Amino acid sequence: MKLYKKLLIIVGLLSIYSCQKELSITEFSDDFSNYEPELKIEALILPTENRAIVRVDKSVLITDTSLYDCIDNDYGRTTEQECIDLEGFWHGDADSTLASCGDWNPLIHDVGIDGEIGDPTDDDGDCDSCSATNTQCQENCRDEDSIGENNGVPDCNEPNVDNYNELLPNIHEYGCIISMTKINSDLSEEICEFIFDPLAGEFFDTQYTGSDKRGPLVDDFYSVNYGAYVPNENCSATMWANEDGSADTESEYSFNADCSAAGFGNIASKEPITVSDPVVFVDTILNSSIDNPDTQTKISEYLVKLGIDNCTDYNCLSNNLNEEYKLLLYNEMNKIDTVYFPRYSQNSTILWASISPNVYFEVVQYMYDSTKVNSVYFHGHPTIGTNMLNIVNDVCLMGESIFADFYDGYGNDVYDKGEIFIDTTDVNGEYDEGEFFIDTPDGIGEIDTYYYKISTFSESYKNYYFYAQLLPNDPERSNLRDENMNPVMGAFGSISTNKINFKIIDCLEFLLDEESCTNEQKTHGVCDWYPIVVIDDYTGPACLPINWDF
Amino acid sequence: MNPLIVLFIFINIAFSATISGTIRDNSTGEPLSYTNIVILESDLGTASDVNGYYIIPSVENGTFIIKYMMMGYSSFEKELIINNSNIRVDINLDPEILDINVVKVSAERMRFEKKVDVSRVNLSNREIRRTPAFVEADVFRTIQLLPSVTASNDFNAALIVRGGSPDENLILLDGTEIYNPYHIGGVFSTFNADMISDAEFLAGGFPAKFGGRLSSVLNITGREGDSKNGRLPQSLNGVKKYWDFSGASGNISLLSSKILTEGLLYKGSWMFSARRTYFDKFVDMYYNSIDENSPGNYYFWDTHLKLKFAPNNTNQFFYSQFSGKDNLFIGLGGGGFPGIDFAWDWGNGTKNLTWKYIPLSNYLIKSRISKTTYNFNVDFAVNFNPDTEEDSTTTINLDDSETSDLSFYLDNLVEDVDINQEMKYVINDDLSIDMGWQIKKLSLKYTETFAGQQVTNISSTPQTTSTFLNINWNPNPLLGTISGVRISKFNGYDKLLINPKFTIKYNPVSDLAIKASIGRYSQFLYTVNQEEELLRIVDFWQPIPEGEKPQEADHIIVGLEYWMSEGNTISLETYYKSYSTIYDINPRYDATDIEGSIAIAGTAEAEGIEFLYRFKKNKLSGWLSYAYSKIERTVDLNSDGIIWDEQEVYPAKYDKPHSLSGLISYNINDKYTMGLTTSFGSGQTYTPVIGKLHQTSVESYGSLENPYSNFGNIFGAKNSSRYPNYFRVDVSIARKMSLFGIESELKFQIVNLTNYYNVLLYNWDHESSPSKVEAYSMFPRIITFGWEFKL
Repeated sequence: MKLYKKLLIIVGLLSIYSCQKELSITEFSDDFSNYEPELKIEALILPTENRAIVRVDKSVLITDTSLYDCIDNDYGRTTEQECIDLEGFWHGDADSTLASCGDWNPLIHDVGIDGEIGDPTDDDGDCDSCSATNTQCQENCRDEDSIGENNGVPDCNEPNVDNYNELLPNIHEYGCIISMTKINSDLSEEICEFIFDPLAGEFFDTQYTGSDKRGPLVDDFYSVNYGAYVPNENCSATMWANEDGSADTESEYSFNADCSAAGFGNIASKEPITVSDPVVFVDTILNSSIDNPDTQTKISEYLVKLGIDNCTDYNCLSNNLNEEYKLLLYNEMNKIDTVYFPRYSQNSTILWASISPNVYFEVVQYMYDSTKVNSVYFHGHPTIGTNMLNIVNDVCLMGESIFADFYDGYGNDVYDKGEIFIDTTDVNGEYDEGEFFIDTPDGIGEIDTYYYKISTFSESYKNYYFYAQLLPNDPERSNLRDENMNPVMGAFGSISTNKINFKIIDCLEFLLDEESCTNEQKTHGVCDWYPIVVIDDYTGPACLPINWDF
Repeated sequence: MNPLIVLFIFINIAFSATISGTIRDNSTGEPLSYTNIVILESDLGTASDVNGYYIIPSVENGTFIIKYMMMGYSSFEKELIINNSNIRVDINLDPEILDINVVKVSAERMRFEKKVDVSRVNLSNREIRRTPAFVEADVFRTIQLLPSVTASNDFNAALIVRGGSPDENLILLDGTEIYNPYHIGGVFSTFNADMISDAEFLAGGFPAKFGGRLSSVLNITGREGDSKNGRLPQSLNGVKKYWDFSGASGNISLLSSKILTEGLLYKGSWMFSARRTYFDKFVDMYYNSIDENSPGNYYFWDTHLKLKFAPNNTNQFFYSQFSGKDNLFIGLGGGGFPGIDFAWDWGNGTKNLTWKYIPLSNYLIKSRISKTTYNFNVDFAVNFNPDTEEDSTTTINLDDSETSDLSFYLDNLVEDVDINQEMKYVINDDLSIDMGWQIKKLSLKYTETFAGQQVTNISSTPQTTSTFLNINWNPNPLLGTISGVRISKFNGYDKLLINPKFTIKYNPVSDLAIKASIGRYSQFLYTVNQEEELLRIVDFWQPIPEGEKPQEADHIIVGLEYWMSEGNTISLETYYKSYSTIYDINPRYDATDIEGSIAIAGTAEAEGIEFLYRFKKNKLSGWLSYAYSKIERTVDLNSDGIIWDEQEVYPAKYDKPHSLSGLISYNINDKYTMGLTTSFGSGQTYTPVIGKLHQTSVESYGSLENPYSNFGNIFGAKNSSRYPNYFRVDVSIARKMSLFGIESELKFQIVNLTNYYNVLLYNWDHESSPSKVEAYSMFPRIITFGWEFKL
């Protein structure tokens, strides 16, 4: 590393750290000394998945000393053999019979308390005497081990130490008696009791892989399980959805949690809720900025074209949709499994519709891994229809732009056999050091198949999710109340989800193959055969994405 | 013309004479504000206004000696014979070496005796430039040493006046409103100190001619320029008559270079100042030297042009133009990372034409048309497939969406066209009238475009029409009053807004003035800025919601001012401000209708007492101030119709019960000058963290998929805790010298001399047991220096 870069780093760090200092939390004890842990309850009906889940967790004191114990003990204290059987790493020594067993791998996770390989900040202070101009000293200091690095045992802040698997069991509250009551449209009632399931839910998290690469697209997702309350086996099959699997938007639900045994009293929903209808997918736009409705006038015209401009309910959205668009209506009896988009298209969109005021959505994109066995979280975000753009009469038309490319993650910075390279050095057909290559990720191939989940919310859960600037126990954000009608953190609500698969077709794969290019089975109508194309030095026919803008 | 005015004119012409004129610096031709003018052996006298203009009405026939006095200038006496006719006397005063042993009656004494005002301070160019400050002298930082004013933090120069938020201050440059008067996110004000002639600051109870703001007025007047010392050779006499160059002065500091040039214009003068930072040039040079693209850069510049044309004694024309811009660019990515380009620029531009017409010596009309523009826009582009060459950064053409995979564009524009007219009529020494009108037409636009699709488009065209009347009446020599009213019509509100104001001053003894003021103030615009913001990079101006009541505050101010001796005064003021309507950002806004729901109305109360001791003794001058204040807001933040005491009745972020400030300037000798400022005060409020919780949040996109994504704070009562006390001492020393034959001054400054750790914010790390907390500080000790020169 050259001198000026080192100097810049040193000056930058000095600037930052001279203005930053760690304080003792006792200086703040007046603020938090009277606080007692409280419950946060997220009670969710998921009608389109025909299930419900209730997460009951405790808040944690600032002064708590047990949650982050700096021990890697995902599987608790075990014998060495038990730990091996669990495919864990055992942290005992030769004299131990029992020791903590977890997933901290000494080969890749022993990076020290700064969580990074090497020590850019001189944690142990032994480089304080390095002068700014002594480049060798600075170089050594940056590359030295931080405290705990390569010491063979797990330390605080090292990867996989105090990770979700270890933390979550300590914040879950197990001592509540949970129930939900369904009041059908004929006023009959059904009650469903819940039981605690330590594997009730899962989410994706990123894991440390030893690479220093970070970005919005990462290859290192893994699944985390968490404990929550789920309906017991006696609950009715139609408790959460109609017999045909559709959301039961006519019935009302209420919630009760008796957490007296845990010292938190009885908590209930302040009023019944109804579940929301899922969105209706209505169209796709293939690589066309002209077709993309980006003003309210265009949205209004688009709704007329779809035949749903005057709809006031979801049946109308599904039933009145013009025949040519009904292919996208996805359900168990799906007429179409997957929609297709051309790779490299700039203006491709999936469109869906809902009925106002159900205009708050969450959009989450998943990708299938190369084996198509599992799906992996790709990205997600909330989105909201607005009166100035999306909402016309009672109909809200929304669109999600497609990132029309293959996901290829990150590679390992080293040429691996099979990766594409430019044979410039001696044109020998072999990769030579210094030649450019496309560093594709190792372990996964290029991913071309994804799906979107678009969710709508009950009014109560919409308030909880979108009024994030209010406190979690704000009476307008939470609809849960204790025995004294004080708000309790969390919410009781529902999320209704619709899902659509899509696949990216690389038309360039059929660049000069007219037959394949126009073969519906291969390109699904998203590629077009252009008899004359002039691109740089090439003039002639080519297979390119439909609606290609030359 | 108003029949009443005609009547007054007639009466005046019939029975008395008026002496009027303009007083200027004989060496430069610049007007001398607040010059003292007295008619010897009589009670008559006045002080010139900020433009050097004065009027002495109702002078009886006879022969008089009129005397002009200004600190730092030779006095001038002239014999006048009055014979039922008005007299125009324009005077040029010669600068002189200040003889501190000679006691003169100053303009300040005249203001003390004659002017009926409260909460007003005028700062001269010299005072502003002598105040130690971070890197460069700054009018905002000087004002923040007054008892009525505080700053949010060292990085944010926004003025917080008696508990009002920064958007409640009317900032005027040559009469034109500036909507975002900051550079570098608020570290500096946008005003180059060199070009300021006078900064009049009114912390409350301001007169009816100023409208549209609730808290204060900062009225900055730019210099007109030196028209007397043209340097063009006589051989160019043909040119010299129409344009000449009198000189230039400049300043080179660690941050920027400044230049101010001035000279004669045909029957007038011109002044041009410019400033630009050069940090970006060093960055560019560095990256050019290593043959790489710069990953980011930032600079700002501003210019001010002022032209004056006075074809005769009765007409003066002024043209003032200000432009300022901040540019920030950051390009990240490459080497396997997505390419991210971020460009942000913002700035103000004003154009202003003023016609000052003096048809009669005691009658003045000022007409002005001005346009001010404030714009900020943000370009953000991501390229997911950048060049993978190691260490390279990508550069995406932000103007070409085809080259980026994802783009975001935000544009905010404020345009303000203002036409106004003021008339001043002096009937006699005890009675005068100010009146005027103003039409202000704004265009506010805010758009967001994401991935080529416009997702937000908020625009409005608020318009206000106002008229005002002030009657200055002194019933007897000990008592002075100003009764005023401002009547406004805002096109977004049905009712007429009538804002009465009344100010009274009583001098029970010659050196003591008792003052009181009461008034109502309305405001039609507000900024959608978080109260908690650390930097004030942009101001997002919005009109108040359609049909809703404008923001409104009542001021009650009572004070004493004691004249100890020339340059030594003590003032004590207590105030109570009641906000019947203020608008804040609605945390429970309806996202389907942001424009209609982003504002939420509340109330507030501010009260305090302020002490100011201004001193001038021998070579020492400055002031000491202390203020006690309390500001409490009540806002139904969750819009449930119920006020939640713990969260919805709270001290404002700016609530600082105690603040003590001092400014000392000491002329060691002819060469050396020393300056010192100090501030000590209560820390700002913050909302304490009382616990921690794993939670999902809309702020962590997609987090519904991970309900435990955010191990965040549980907060206690809003703004119920306070940062440690603030303390800072800045010192400066300046040495006059000749450097390379150039008249120069070297200035050396130390900011935060004691290196006191002033806390900016706390950051909690809950991923340890127990939690950890870090403090981030404001300015540490910083040493800066600069070179001022005069050509």
